[in-house]
Amino acid sequence: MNQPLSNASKSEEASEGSSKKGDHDLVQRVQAGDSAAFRALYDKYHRRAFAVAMGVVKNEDDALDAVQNAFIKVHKNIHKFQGSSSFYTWLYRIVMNVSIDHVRRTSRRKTLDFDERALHEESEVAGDGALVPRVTDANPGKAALRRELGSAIQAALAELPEHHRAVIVLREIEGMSYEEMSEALEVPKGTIMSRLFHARKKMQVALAPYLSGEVVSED
Amino acid sequence: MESPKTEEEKLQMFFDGELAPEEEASVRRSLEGSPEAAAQLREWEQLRAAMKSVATDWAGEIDSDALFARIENEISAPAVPIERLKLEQPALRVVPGGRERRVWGGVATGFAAAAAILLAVMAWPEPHLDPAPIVRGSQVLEADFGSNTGTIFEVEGGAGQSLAVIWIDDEEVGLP
Repeated sequence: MNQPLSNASKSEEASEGSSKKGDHDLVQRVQAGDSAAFRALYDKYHRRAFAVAMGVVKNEDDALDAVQNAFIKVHKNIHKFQGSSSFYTWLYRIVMNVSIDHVRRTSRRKTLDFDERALHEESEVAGDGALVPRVTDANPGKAALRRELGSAIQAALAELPEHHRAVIVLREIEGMSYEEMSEALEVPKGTIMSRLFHARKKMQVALAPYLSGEVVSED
Repeated sequence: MESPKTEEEKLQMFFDGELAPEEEASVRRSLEGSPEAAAQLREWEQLRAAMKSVATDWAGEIDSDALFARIENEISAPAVPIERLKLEQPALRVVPGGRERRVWGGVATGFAAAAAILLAVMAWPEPHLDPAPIVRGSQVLEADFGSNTGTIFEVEGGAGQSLAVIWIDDEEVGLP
């Protein structure tokens, strides 16, 4: 059972190397003003950036805003990117910072815009042009379970302190190594390991009713 | 120098594929006699699978083009040049003051400015010998706005005279 876990991580390393080289080329082209290269970087990373943002903020629209702002920052600051770290750790650092900022701002004004959010959620149910349609599935029961699991994971993530949330999202959703997380979050590897351990523990407790295997299976 | 790893740390590193091959082999061997560690690995694996599965749903249906269009709009929105912003400001003389005691400083200097206007009006010399039409006015040479900023306007009065008007801003502002 454990064999594939570590081997999977290592088998990804070869393709990561060429991917980093490809990113470096794209970054250089963006720095030279090539807008097609910027689009290529966006195409490559925006979904993963969105998933990371979703792990931090509370709804799709906020995650989309976070991704939007992150890519705007990337475009604005790409001339400062020296290539000493990989592009995607730099991108995820930006996505994480933008998302955490968003959560902080939202929590400060939570009381004020409660009514507005309630209205917004109603409009999402109505599906009025939101960029992310609700998850659909041919099997309504299964779709409901997945939605429930999604909500439970978001609720569990929301209960974590920001620094725990960041590591578990980057590790479990994005599959980043300790070294990459250390780079993206600018903390030592030992801190990453400790935060990850505690974050996992809390998530296990919060999601205990769902972690039976059947609910989480990927078809 | 690296500190020795605890068993928990080793197990987590094993799970995350972060151990050196020889350590990995050692943990794998130890798992055979430790059902607790094996159970822990299973739970972590379930958690990972759940989070990955949900993240796939989260990212699966983004309208990528619409989102990119939003980004492009923001990026290509023409920035208003600073020079143009400056030109759009009325040609006012702003006299910045100190940075402390903003509110009371502003009130006090407001009174001082009003007094200065009054004095200036009263002190304006009366032309006795000039047969040309008499024009009165006021002029403020300088005002201390304390921690506030303010503006001294020169406006034309009904009789064509030059009048000084002092405006004190409510809040501190940066220098133009």
